[in-house]
Amino acid sequence: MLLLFSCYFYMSFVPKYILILLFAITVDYFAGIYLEKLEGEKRKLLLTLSVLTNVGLLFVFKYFNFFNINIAKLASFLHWNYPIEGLSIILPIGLSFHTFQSLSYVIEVYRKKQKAEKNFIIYALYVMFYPQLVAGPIERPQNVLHQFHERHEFNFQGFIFGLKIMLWGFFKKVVIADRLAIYVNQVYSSPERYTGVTLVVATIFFAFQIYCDFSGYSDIAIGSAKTMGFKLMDNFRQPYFSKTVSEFWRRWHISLSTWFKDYLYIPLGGNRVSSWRRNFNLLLTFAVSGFWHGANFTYIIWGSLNGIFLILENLVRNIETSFKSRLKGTLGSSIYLLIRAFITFSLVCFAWIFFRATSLSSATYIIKRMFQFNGFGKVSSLFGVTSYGEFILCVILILFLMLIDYINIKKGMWEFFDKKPLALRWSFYYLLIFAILILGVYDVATKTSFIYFQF
Amino acid sequence: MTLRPKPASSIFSSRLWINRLIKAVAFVVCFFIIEAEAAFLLDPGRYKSDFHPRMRWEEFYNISKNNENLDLIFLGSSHAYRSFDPEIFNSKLGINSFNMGHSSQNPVDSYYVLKEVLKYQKPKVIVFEQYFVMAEGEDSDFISASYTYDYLKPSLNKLSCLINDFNPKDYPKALLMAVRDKDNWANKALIKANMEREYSLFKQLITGKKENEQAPLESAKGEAYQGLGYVSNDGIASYSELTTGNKLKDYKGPNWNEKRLSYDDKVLKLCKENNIKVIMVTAPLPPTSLKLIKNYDELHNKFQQIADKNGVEYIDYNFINREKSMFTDKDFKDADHLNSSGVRILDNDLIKYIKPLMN
Repeated sequence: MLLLFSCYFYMSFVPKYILILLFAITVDYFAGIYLEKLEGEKRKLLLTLSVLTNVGLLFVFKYFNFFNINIAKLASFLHWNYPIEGLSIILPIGLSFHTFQSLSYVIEVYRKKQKAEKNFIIYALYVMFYPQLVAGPIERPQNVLHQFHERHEFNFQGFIFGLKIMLWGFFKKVVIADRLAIYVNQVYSSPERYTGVTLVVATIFFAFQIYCDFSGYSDIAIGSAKTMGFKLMDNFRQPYFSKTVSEFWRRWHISLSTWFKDYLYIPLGGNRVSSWRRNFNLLLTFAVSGFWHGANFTYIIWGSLNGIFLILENLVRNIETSFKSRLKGTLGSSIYLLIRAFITFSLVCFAWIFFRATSLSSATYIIKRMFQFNGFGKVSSLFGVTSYGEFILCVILILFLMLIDYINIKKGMWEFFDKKPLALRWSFYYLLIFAILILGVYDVATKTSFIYFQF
Repeated sequence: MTLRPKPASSIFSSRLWINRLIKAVAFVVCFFIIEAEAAFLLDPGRYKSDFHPRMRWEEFYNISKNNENLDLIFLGSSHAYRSFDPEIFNSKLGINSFNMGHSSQNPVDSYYVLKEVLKYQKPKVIVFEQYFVMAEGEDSDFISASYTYDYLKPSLNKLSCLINDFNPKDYPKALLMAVRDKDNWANKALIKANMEREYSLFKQLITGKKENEQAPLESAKGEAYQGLGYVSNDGIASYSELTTGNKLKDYKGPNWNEKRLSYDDKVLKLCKENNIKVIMVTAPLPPTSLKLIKNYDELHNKFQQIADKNGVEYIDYNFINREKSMFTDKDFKDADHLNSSGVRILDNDLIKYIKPLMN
């Protein structure tokens, strides 16, 4: 039943692409079974075959045109004849997510950390489980496969808890992310029309937009799975409270970060290699992670920048540790942490410029304009993008989000509210519901799809 | 036979579920109370005395409540409620008539309006106004559907109207007024005015004293709701309204909508089932506007076909006006609606078609 519903859900986007998904599922299903049976070189060969199938699908649908265009540009530069034309195909929704989830299964079976799934339906459900099919969290077989074998009886508390998580997710997506998107889209679509200060604010807004957009989707996925009795992994843990970029990456898109750590960074040698090699591994992992997000140089630079930030952090770690130990227990320690959080947020926002900009030239233009003293502009220019009320609402929503995230860090959001009297709890639920209904952006003309659907 | 007591766990569990059910019901009730309050504060002015879609229905229900019988009902778009003045028909024919047209009323809306009318009234004749634009375009027009849906009394007809007259994506907007008017959240003046209105209503409720009710307002365009569903207008279309600013200037139709056309048939069938005589009427356009529509014969023929198929008479005043020159541009308030002088000419002529049907 769940599988049928998941198929229906997937087919509501581009129906024929279900065949691609079924092909990948079939290949990985049999690969899993034979990986368990075979020994020696044949196992490696089978793993390679399965990985190539998955990566091949990604390459054809997501990266072929990128490589093709750039090779054509290079050929033209060298005055060579390059006759291969681009493909006019739409990227199947969630391809990067379910491909990585499938790869995770095959690799775990190869590493003998996971038994091969004999039931095709269960395996198909592992890949296609509708809440996380199109935008994650990218699950591990150890976390979810066994749950599909278990019998799930209706659990009222779990059902309500799932609904609450979904409600918060919808609030983040429809109210915060989509409202910030109005401002961000307008500024980023024609940055030359706006002052430096507006570009800075639009970038900060984008940082919160993408956080709410993606973590909102994750919450909806986790919540809707929870209503049916399934537990999916956390994907975000208040990333903008991070004091370092490495902490940010332990809190941001956790399922993808850990995927790259387990299946790329550690196999490359991880931390157990020379420091230059470790830094190279970091940079490579983050560049690939950027490329995973999209076939564009802007994403590669975004990923690489984050890698560079981590390398720099590693380089100054010893100095920082001794400095921190001297401040320990003083007011200076708290101030230092605040400054550190501010620097981390600024670095992350700087990298987001490349993620959001439509091209490299646009990103560099935006950065130049931000740092041009005469182009920085007056604070009043901030209100020229949307109405004054709209701008103030955006600021209030961000502050509200940070307050809830702060409560989440300290006590856990739902634990905090569950201990409050009924009237207060319900007031909070109604606040979220009516904010979604009244302040939510879901009219056809203005609505924005989930950003991560494109990946 | 002795009854065995229920196991403690089962009692506990049933109590638990009853508690949960009570909480769920309370939650839903509170939701609707808050929604109603939010809707009140965001209301753009549907309560005002110049909002004739509401006033028309209120008057209709009042008439029906007083057991007054209506012999003649007009259905259709603004061309109906601005063209057919029930007072003229009532005085000349000695009958009771009512105009149930509303802005952009398309045949789908007309069908649900008629179904509601038939629950309260047994009219002898229906004048079913046909403006070609209403049979074109999209399946659903939210505003015109809401002018019907909002005022239907709770019934299966209302449910059916919701399902068939709205686009599914608009269901939340149709059901929840707060969602419909959500874009007013930043309109401080409107919210303040609505809060003051609420305070005044609350004061009336407490003191029992009613404040002077507002008389029907005349809008800035010089029109007023005259009662019995009719809206009068004494203005005269300006030259620019009829020429450069004429909205029919760029007409590229017809782009018939099959759903809407099929509801023309449904309305006529419903009338037949209820032994109601029907006349299909197209109200005139200003001669200058009509000249802008090159393929008017094609539009006329479509409605003639529908009328012929259903065995009803079709009177097209655009055709009549070509031959008899009954109306000049001065008989219109804008590019497509009659003014009061035009209404008098039209209604006095239409009477001759209706009179034989009333017997």
